[in-house]
Amino acid sequence: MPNPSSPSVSPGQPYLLQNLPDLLPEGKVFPRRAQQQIDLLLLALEALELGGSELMLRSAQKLELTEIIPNRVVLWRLRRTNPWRRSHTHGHLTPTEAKALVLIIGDRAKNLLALLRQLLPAAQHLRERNLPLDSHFRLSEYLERFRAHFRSRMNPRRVRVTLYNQSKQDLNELAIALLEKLLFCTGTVGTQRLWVSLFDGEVS
Amino acid sequence: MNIRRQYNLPNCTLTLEGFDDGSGKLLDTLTILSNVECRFTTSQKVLSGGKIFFDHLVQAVSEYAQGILSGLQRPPEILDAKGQVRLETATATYTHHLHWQQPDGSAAETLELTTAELFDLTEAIDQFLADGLTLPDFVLPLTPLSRRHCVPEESFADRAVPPLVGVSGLALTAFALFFVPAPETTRTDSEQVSSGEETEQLASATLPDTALWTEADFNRLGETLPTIATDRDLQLMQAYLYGTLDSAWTERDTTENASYRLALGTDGRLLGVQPLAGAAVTTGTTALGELGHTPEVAAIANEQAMAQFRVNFAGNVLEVSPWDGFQSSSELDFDSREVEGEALRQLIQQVKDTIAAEFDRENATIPQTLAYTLGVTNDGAIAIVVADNNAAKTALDQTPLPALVEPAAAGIVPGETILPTEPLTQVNVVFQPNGVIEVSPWAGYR
Repeated sequence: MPNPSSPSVSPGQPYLLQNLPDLLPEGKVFPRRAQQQIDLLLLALEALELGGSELMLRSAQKLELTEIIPNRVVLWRLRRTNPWRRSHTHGHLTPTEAKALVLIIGDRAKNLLALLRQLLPAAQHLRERNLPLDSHFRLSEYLERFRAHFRSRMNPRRVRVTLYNQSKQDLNELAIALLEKLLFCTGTVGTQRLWVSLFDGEVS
Repeated sequence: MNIRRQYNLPNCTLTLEGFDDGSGKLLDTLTILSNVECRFTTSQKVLSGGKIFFDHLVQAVSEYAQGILSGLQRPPEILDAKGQVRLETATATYTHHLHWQQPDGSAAETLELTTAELFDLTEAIDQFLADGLTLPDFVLPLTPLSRRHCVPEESFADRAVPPLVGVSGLALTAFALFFVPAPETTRTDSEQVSSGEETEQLASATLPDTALWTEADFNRLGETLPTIATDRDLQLMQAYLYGTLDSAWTERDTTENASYRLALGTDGRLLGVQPLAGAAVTTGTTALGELGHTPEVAAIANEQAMAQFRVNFAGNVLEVSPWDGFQSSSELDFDSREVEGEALRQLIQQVKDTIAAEFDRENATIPQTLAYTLGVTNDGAIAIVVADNNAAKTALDQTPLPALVEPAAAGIVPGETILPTEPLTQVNVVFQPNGVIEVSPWAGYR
C-alpha cells in the first residue's frame, strides 16, 4: 500500500487534490462501492438544498476544479459510475475525478453544517421516542426529496434498489445514515477522512 | 511552564494540560502531556486520564469515525485488546457506546454518545492533531481497512473463474451456464503479487473459519440481511450455485455423502455454511470454497440480499435445493414478458442468426437432440444459458453457446450480483442432430 502520509505531488494538479493521498493499488480500477458511496452522498446533498447540482458546480469553481468538472454534463457522467444508477455505464472514475468529487462533497457539507447540526439531533430525538420522522418539518422535507430522487434515478432492476423502493423506512434510514456521513465530512480533516474511508476493504 | 489547551465544540470540550520541554526553545509548545479531560456538554459526563488513555482514545475514536464513513466497522479481533477505550454501535437507540476501562480492571465506565456528540469528539481530536503547538510529535495516519478484514466484492470478479454450469428445475436436472470473462487486469495482478498476497489467495480457495456457522447464525441472518423471496431469483441463484459447485467439485468419491445448509449472498458468494447430520466436513469443502466468502458485515455494507440452500454431495451426484422450498413453482421462469409482437419476432430471428452464424463457422457435430433455455436481453445478447437435461449439459461444448454467452449484458457479474439487472426474454433453442436449429420464445409469441 502506498504510504498515505506522502501524497504524490504532480505540479499540474490543483493544489487541493494533493491533500488526498493516492491509495488505489497499482493497476486497480476505482472501487465500485466507492463510486456508489460518492454518488449517494451527492444525492443527499441535492435533497438538502434546492439547486444542489448548480451549487456543486459553483463549489468546483471555487476549489479550482473546473478543469476536471467543467460543466453539468461531466458531473452527470461521473455520477453515472454509481452501479445503482438507471443510466449506469460500466465505467470507472479516475482517482483525480474521484478526488474532485470528494472535495466538492466536503465543501458543500461544510456549507450545510448548521443544517446538519439541526437535522441529526432532530432525527435522534424522534427515533428515541418512536415518533414518525415526518413530524419534523425540515427533516421530513429532506427525506421526501431524498426518496423521490432515489426512486427516479436508481435502477429498480437491482435487487437492493427494489428492496429500498419497497420500504419507505429503509430509504429514510439510508438518508439519515448519509446525513451522518456528511456531518463527518465537515470536520478539519473531513475530506481526508471521507477519501480514506472509500478504500476500506479495498487495500491489502 | 504549565500549558493548558482547550478545544471547544458544541457538544464536547477537550482539555489538554502539560508542560513545554523546558529547553526554552519551543516556548508555548505543549510537549509533555500530564492530564486530559474530555467533557460532554449535555450529559455533563467527564472522561479523564493521562497520556496512555489519550493515545487509546484518539486511536479508537478515529478508527470508529472511519467505520461510520465507510459503513465497515473494524472487526473486534483487530482492535487492541489492551486498549482502554472501545466504541461500539448501539443499534437499538441509534447511539454509540464508548467503553472506558482501566487496564487493571479497577474502574470502568460506559458513555452513551449521540452521533453529534461523537462527531464533536472526533473533531476536537482532529483539531488537536492539526495544532502544531500541542504535542507536535503526535501523528495519526489515516489508513483504510485492509481487505483481510473485509473481503470486498471486487476481488471475486477479478479472479479468473472457469465456465460455470448450473442446475434448477423440478428434478434438479436443468443446467445453467454463466461465463465470467476474466478481466484484463487479472494477469498483471497475479504477476505482481508478492509472496504474502499469494498465500492469501490460496487461503481464500478453502473455507475460512468465519464461514462455518451454527444454526444460531442462520437464525440471526434473517434479521440482518433481506431474504430473496421470489421464485425467479431463487431459481437463478440455485442454478448459479449448482453450476459453480458442479464444476468445482472435482474429487468425486462414490462412497462419501455430505449435506450442508448454506447461505448465499446475491453476489454469488458464500455467507456461511453448516454441515448437517454429522457430515464429514471434508467432502465438497474445496468446491464450497470456490464460491468465495463474503463476511456478513461486508454483505450488509454492500446491501445484498441472501437465500439459503441445502446442498447434498451424495456419492458423485450433486443436489441443490432451496432450504425453505419454492413459493409456488420450481420451473424456471425469468421471462420479463416485455418484448411483444413484431419486436419479439425480430428478437427471436436475431438470436437464431447469431447462433447459426457461430454454429456454421465451428462446423460442430450434434450427437443427439439438445435443448437449452436462454435468457436474452432486449438488445439480443444471450446472458444466460440453461441446459434442459444432462445430455445437453454434457454436449454443451459441441454447441456454439459457450462462445456466445455474455452474462454482463444483463448485469450479471459474479462477485457483484448473480441476478440479472436487465429484463430478459426466455427463449428455447433446440439443436437437432441433422444441424437444424430451432429457436422459439418460451412463453410463446404474444
